[in-house]
Amino acid sequence: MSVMTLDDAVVADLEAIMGEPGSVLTNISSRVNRARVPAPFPVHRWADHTPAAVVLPRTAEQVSEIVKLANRAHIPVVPRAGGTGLNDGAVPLRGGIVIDVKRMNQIKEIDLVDRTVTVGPGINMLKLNEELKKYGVFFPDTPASYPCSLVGGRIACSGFSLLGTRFGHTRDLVMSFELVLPTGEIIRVGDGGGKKIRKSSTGFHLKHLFMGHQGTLGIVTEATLELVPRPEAEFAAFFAFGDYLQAHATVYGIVTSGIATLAGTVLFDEKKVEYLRRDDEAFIPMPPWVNSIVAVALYGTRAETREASKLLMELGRREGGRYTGDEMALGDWASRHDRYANPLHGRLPDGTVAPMSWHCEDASLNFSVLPKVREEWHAVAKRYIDQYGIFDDWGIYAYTSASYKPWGDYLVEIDVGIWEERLDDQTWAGWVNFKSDLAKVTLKYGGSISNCHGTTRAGDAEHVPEEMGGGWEVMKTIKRALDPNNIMNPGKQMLDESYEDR
Amino acid sequence: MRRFIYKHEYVRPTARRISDGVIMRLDHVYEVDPDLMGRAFSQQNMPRWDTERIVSSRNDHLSWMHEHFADETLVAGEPEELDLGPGGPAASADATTAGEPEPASHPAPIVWRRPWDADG
Repeated sequence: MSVMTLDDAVVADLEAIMGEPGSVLTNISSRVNRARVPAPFPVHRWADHTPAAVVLPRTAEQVSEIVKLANRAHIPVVPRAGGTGLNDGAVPLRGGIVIDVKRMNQIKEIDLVDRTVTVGPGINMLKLNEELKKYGVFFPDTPASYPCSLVGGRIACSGFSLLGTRFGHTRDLVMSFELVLPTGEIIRVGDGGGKKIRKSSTGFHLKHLFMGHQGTLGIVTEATLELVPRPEAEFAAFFAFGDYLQAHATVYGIVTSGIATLAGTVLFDEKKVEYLRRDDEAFIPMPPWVNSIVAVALYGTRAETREASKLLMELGRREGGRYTGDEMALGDWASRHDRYANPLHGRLPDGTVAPMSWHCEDASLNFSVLPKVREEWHAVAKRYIDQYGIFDDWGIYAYTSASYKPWGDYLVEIDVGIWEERLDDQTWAGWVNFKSDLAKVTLKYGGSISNCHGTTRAGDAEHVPEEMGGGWEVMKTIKRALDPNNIMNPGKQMLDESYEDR
Repeated sequence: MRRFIYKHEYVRPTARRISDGVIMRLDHVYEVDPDLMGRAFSQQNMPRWDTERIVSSRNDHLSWMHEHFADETLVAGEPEELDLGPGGPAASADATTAGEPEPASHPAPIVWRRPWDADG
């Protein structure tokens, strides 16, 4: 394996900045293990994505000094938090230095008066909430990677929360954050200037510029987060349907009902039920007539949740839904917080099982177009499955995705299995085309390519200029102004275009 | 300390076929048909006690998740309706009428503490 190395003098400079043994890693295993994330990865070109060094800072000042050094020497820098992304934001495309923020995992302050908690970017939400529980408060950012993803990555991706309909998503739940710019300055961004201010009209809203930047505009070193009262009660119910459009209509009835404790609604299509029937204990015994599922969860006070649950049970059945029972409501809903525990295998065209990595398309789409997008995405998947024989269609989920309101638009996922062991340049190019064709369907129906993973990967990135329209030129201007030497996660999201006239 | 494992706990029950691609050896424990797995995954004989340990751990994890997110988990407390077959818009007439939810049977709820009680 040929791997780029850093000049010894640069490594010495990094060690001098860090001043702690074991905080600058140049051994092969530390670097190779930070080359990829769970998203589909060209394993046959692993060496091309391996960083030259890994640093493990503890303070913003250390991050700042590392970035200044990299900027002076024109060395690429890639920030990495949990490395759980379903896009390739944390994958180095040009080698360089990976800044791994896992040691910046402190809880710096819990403010029960103004209802905030201030943390380092390396803390995990599950661990944070274990600490917050003793105070009766909760940080409700709950992705499918809840037990393993970190706050810094959630900000870099502008994450989606399973409970976002009730409590908001990452962008709503992070009030302000400190970050190191590509030239090394440390700044704090919020909705204005106040660290704990939730609404402001001062200046530009810089928080939103840096929220979801995918490591291309800086490195988050601290964040101040929202605290909500810990829910007294949770209620989940699943309803089965023999027809997708009945399920679709049921979702509409639920999300427009006005239930304030509604935290999330998930619509499973026929291919998803078919996939789960192969491998998920809750779905295998489902009778053959079941082809769609609606899952709903409520969170709130006991009094609110109890009353709302009665209305929800009525709405779930109004279009013909059948309640799937208490056991499934409990087991399956709990597992929604931890989808990374799923067995990652799929089926080849002959029905046999192969180990597969997981591609999760994550479009934002309006409710009205879900049936058409579903048909076209499955048609795209079938075409590539038939042609290459290394992909599997794991079906579609649609999650309510607006903050504080359940209607309107949805995070729509088609999950695709990819047999990575069979990848070579030809099949990887096939995968990128597959991905690109899914994105084209999203744009055709007026959607956004990525709800929560980001658009850094090949197959997404080339469509960013089209989706952004006139805003694309503004993006490039901002990138070049903040990162004059293109050191911050270079090669991502077509942003290299910012420097083409040099 | 690891408990003593009896000989009979190693014996795997005979598999029953559940569907074209799924078998079952222990109640509620579904397994992908080993004949479909062998191409890419080496198969091994999993002792019964180890399967039960894994299932038990998973159930503990799911209960823990419920406790983690709320003080109390409620369920409808109604029977499943899958045997009724697919429903139409009028299906609610032949389904159970929604009643009071009831506490789920997972470990006891955690006592909710207000912030000003935190340090006694």
